[in-house]
Formats: sequence, structure tokens, C-alpha cells
Amino acid sequence: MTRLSALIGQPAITLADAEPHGKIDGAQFDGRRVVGLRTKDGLIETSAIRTFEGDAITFDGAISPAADDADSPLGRRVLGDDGDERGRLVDLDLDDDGTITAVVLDDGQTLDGTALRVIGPYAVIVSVGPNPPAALNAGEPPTVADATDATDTEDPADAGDAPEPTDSTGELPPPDGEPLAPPAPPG
Amino acid sequence: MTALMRGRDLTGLPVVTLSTGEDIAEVRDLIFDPVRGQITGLTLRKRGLFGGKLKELLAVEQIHAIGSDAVMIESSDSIADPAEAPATVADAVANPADVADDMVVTESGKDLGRVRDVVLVGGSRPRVVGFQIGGGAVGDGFIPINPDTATSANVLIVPDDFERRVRTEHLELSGDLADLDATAIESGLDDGGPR
Repeated sequence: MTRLSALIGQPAITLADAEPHGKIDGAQFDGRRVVGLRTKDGLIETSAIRTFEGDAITFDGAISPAADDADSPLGRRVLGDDGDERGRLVDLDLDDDGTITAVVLDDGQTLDGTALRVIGPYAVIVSVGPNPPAALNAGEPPTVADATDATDTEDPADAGDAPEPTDSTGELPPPDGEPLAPPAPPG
Repeated sequence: MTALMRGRDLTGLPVVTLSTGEDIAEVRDLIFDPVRGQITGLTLRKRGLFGGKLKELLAVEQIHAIGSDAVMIESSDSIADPAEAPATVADAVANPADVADDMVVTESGKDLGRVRDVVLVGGSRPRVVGFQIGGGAVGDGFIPINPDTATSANVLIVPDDFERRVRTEHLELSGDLADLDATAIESGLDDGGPR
């Protein structure tokens, strides 16, 4: 299991020739599944990625053009299908094939991934209907911090690829329970 | 508890599709049928401060839910050109009936004030439950929609005992609508109105 915020900012490298393709700055979704990760060069299909568990995204094959909305959904508003706002999206838990297993909100609540209806450009929509989404936890709200600080560990020459905040707050909390990456060594 | 809203609270709410998570429009106004006493739909405009009027309409049957933060619809196919909209919606748009500022008079002729706005219950079955009134001898308050309420182009005639209801049980409506229990109001309506 990994979290989307842990993937954002990781360098993407092709396995065949060790060619760097910038950092992950977004994702493309199909329903409850991440189908690709975006870098400045385009979209890397999830099926081409060796693993989500490393410190870099290594992949086989070509990069395809990314859709306009394949940016990071972190910080986006979360709406219930009843039209009431539930909060802001802090993170998504992903299993090994990119299926979203949990939705983490800024009030500390974690919803089961089955409650997710769609990740849209305006809002992430969750079902609340007659059977409201199960709260997997109701812990303390995550500490708000700039996620770019947590992931920006790469070489200074690539600094321009840091993910853009997708929301007017400009703030993206770090992944809950994930250690912060150490600072980049000098030089 | 289901939230109560004034008609004006809907203006500017985004209209969001459940299929794509997009905000495809925002609410311009509520289409109210005073004869049936119910919402027939919503007129829309493009999103943003200077968003222009959209010709498409949203019939109430196509609304998945009205919430505090958005109007939810299934997809962009849910909004329709007036020519294709249900007759009740198209008629209401062609012959708009604005109840704002209508006079509210009891059967005995007492002037209770003027209609300030319609009051509705949101959720998956949005419906008007009454009117917010003000400017009359009884002060600001709420009168429930009642099957016996006669309406014309400019006047609502209500039973005599509505005067007491405005004075007592629903005076708090002049404050925060969100504090009121819509269920209580509706159960009162079910047996002829609050006592």
C-alpha cells in the first residue's frame, strides 16, 4: 500500500536507458483507479510501473500524452453526493495495482475507497446516500504543511518540476504516518 | 435533520455532475410554480462572476440532490434546452411567477406582510415548504404552504390562524433558517399545519 502524496515528487526513470523524465506531479484516474502518473514529459501508465514502493518511479515503455486534468487532486474539495462539502482531500491510499482503497480528508477522517464516486476537476465526490461511507478512522486532523517540502528531495536542476498546488490554499498536507524525506545532501 | 434554505440561498451554488465531478453551471434562479406550490426547476448561468445566462434549464426531476454547497446532477445530459424541457418547466420560464413582494392576507382581511422569499427543503426531494414574510403588523416570520392557501398574481390568502402561527411558533425564522427543524415543519404540514 502506498499513498498518492508519497508518489508526488518522485523522479520518474525509464528502466531500459535510465533516462530521467522529471518528477511525478499528477495522476490520471478511471473511477476508483489510478491509471497513470504524470510528469512534465507526459503520462506513465500504471501497468508500466515496476512498483510504487521505491523512492523513484521506474517504468518500462513509452510516455503518452497526459490529459489536461491529470493533475494532483490533493487539496481539492470533497463533496458528498448530497451536495454538502465533506472537506478537502488530503490523500489517497492505493494498493499495488493503483486501486484507491481509502480517501483521507482534512478533518482526519478516512473513508473507505468504495465510497469514492469520481475524482473530478472541480470536486472529489463520495457517496453518502442511505449507507454513508464508513469512516475507517476518525483520528486527529493531519498537520497542514506544504507537501512540496516533503517530497522535494531531488537535484536542484530539476526544482522547476515541483508539483503545483491545485488549490487556492496552496497547501498540501504530508502523508499521514509517512516519514518526511531527509533534506537533499549539499552539492 | 434536513436543512432549510431560502430560494436566494440557491443562487450561485455550483451545479456538479456525479459522473465527472465537474461544475458545469451555477444556479441563477429557482423556478417556482405558485399554483402547485412547488419548485419546477432551476435556471442556470455559466460559472464565474461574469458568467452569462445559459439557455438550458434543470428540471426538478433531474436533480439528484440540493445541498448546502452544491446542486448535484447525474451528468450534463440532465440539463435541457427549454424546447425539450418538461412542459411545467418550460411554461414556468415562459410565464415567470415571482412571488417576492406578494401581499399576504388572512381570510378576514388582515395584512400579514409581504413575501420575502420561498423557503424550501433541500436534499434528494427538494420542495417548497413555505414563505418567509416580513414588513407586516405581525413582524418577520414564516408561513407554511397550505393546501388552502389561495394565490393570485400578487396576493396570498391564508387561513386566519396563520396570524398566530407567524407571531409564535415561527418567529425564530426571522433569524437563522438553519436552526429550524424541517422535519417538524413538514410533520406540521402533514396534519394541516403547525398549531
